[in-house]
Amino acid sequence: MKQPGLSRLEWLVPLVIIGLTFFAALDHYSRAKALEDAADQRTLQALKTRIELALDNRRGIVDATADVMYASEFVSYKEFAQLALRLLPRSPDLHAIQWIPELRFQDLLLYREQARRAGFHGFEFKQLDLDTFALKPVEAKEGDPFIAPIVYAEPRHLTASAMGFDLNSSPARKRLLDLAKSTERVVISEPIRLVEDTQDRASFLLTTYVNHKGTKGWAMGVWRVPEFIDDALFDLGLSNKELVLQDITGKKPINLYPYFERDAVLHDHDYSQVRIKVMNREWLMKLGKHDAGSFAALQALAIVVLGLVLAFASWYALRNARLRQATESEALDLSLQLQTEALINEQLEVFKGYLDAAPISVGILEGDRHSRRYTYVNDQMCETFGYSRDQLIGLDATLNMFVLDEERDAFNRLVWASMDNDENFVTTAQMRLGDGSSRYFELAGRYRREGEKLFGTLFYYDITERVKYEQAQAELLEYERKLSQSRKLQAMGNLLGGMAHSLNNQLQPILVLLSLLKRRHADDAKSTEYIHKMEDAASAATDILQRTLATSRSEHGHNRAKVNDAVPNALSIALLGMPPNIKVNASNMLSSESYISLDQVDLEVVLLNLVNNAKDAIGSAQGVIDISSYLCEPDADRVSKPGLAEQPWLCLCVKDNGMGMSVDQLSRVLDPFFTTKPVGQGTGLGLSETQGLVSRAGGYITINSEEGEGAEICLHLPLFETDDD
Amino acid sequence: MAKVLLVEDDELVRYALTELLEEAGHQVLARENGYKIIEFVECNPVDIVLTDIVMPEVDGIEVLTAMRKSFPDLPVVALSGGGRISGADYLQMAEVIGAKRTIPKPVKPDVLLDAVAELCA
Repeated sequence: MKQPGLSRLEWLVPLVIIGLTFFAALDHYSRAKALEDAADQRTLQALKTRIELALDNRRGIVDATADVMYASEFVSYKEFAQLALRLLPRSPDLHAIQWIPELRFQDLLLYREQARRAGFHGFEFKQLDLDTFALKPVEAKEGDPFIAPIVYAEPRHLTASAMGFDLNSSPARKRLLDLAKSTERVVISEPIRLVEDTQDRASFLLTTYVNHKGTKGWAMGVWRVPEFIDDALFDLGLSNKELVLQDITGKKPINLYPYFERDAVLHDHDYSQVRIKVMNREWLMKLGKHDAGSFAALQALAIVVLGLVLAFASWYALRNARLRQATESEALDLSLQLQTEALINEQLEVFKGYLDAAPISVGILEGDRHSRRYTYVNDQMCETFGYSRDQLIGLDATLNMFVLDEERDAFNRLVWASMDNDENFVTTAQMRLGDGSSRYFELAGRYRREGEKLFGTLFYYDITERVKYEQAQAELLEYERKLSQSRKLQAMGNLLGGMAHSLNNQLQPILVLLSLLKRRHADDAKSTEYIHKMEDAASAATDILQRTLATSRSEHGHNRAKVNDAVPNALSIALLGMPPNIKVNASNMLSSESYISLDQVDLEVVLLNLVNNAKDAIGSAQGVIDISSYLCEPDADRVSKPGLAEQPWLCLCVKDNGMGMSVDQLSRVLDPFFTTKPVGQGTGLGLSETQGLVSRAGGYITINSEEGEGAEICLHLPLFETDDD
Repeated sequence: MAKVLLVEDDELVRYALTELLEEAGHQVLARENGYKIIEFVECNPVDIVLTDIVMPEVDGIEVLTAMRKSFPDLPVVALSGGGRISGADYLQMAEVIGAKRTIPKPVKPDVLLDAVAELCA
């Protein structure tokens, strides 16, 4: 149940409070600032009056600089310059008076220019050179940091009239001045109370003797300390020996020794924080300009914070009220909802259990068109793909880590098309698994769209074994096709050859007897004409037969075949259907780009004959057929054509460990129709056919065998560099 | 005039060639195949042998082999109607084994007679 009233208030009230607070803060700030500014103005006015008075009374430089310095917290550079310019002509013993509150390059230029115009040439900003401890004109550059807020004056003589009091009246102070003069270093006095200081506040006198290019004189400054240190210094009656000044502006503290006996370096750097230790008490003094209006700003800030706290509190209270109401009114709904959810979860678990038991990989995805992550995968998927469930859940499926690179584009197109058309997609793909191997999958899935969101269920069915089986089947079919083709060619050749042989034999008597007949009837013109016609017909029949035979031969051609192509191909066919009791070793095969003068089919016939013989010789015993090829030297007596002996020769040997042959068998083995096999188990033409083919290729056959010891039949074939006959 | 041994399994061919050779004045002895051919020639010396190649029992290749062994000087002419087996050329084989002349069937009468006359000269 919604609570529109409360939920609106929940935001409205805090916003109103924040708005009001900001207005109040702004208003307070502007008022307080105005008051502070007015107070500052009044203070400044009072100071100005005091300085005027001091000048009129010629009270001395220390008093004047102290007032100037104090005023410097309030006056602008311009006002200070005016004050200084008015001060100096009335103090004849002063070289210059300087205040360096926050010196920047632009200011430097401005004041130099103003001083020059006023005809006051002694007015110069100076700084202490730490190497020579001499005061040098400030060489400020654009962007240099500000220099310490110190005011000092340069009196010509440290006379009472210049200083306003007698510096030498105290023996300690006298020692300080002597030290400063002898070392020309800056020294710092014990805390002193300026006689003119009506508020009795503590100050330090900083002094150095300047002897630079003939200019001799004293530089002296006054550093006023805040009131809270005054108490410590005077009320406790402490001397400067118990006072420690430490610059802690940087990370590393620098002691500013306040002793007469010791040197003190003041212008070390732009210190902005000084720690002052007196006995066991410690103060931290921050040097810097008083920030007008900061208190007002602080107050305004406090108001804002208060307002924010109030706003938050009201929001929190209202929200709680709304939630409490909502909780109460929806408690019933919630418990019903929880029950339903529990039921759904329970059923979901049962469902997941079923999915986990399924022998197919299932992945459920959720996401959009560009990124879809697995929200559920079943056990089979984890197992098949070799990833843990933790690795898969949350994995972006669009990264396509499973799909092989070369199939990725096609796969993505398919998935997108399925999304766009709201259709199932089914495909087969080779996919990469966790262990780097790959398997074939049949992938089926569908994406359901809900607004921009897509929910997909994908089924991955591992069909690797099937694909492998199909590939093997296809290979086998291809081999069988080749084999049967070569068998067919062989059979056709046999048929044509046989037919031609028979017909040629039948034509022989016709031709011969016609010629005899012609002679007997030479005197009968008509008979002679008939016989001539018959002779022509017989000759034509002869030609037809010769052409047919030539055609059948050219079916397998007389082309050459490359060793590296033909031998492995022929072997693959010759070795088909090898019974399990026979092991074939064909590992020692010569690799050669040369050609033999046999074509693929002839070589298949030859190798098939040899392998079949070897197979038959082994029979059902355990046997081994060794097939090898190598380069060999030809037997000069058996080379049929001159010139071939110079060629390289290939030996292709088939060796079995079967029953072997006797000497008698060996002498007849190449004869046509000779066979050791029982009637009906072989034509007896195998080896003689092989012999015929090999001799036509310019080669010959050798046979080595002993009865019971197996046989080795080698084809010796000349090799050619080209495939031209 | 030559004494010719004709080895031929086909009766008609045997008859026709015998007629041809005899008409030409040669004396013809005929055998159906190469069975015991050496013994036959030892008993019946001849000037020339004409043999078919593809024959039952003892074929022309055997005849040629046997002749080359026993009567190396006796000219043998091989006749064949063509290979019965794919790719195998029996006449070429015969030539390799030692036939003085190989003639494909059907042979023209004049060609055969010229060959006999030439080889017996």
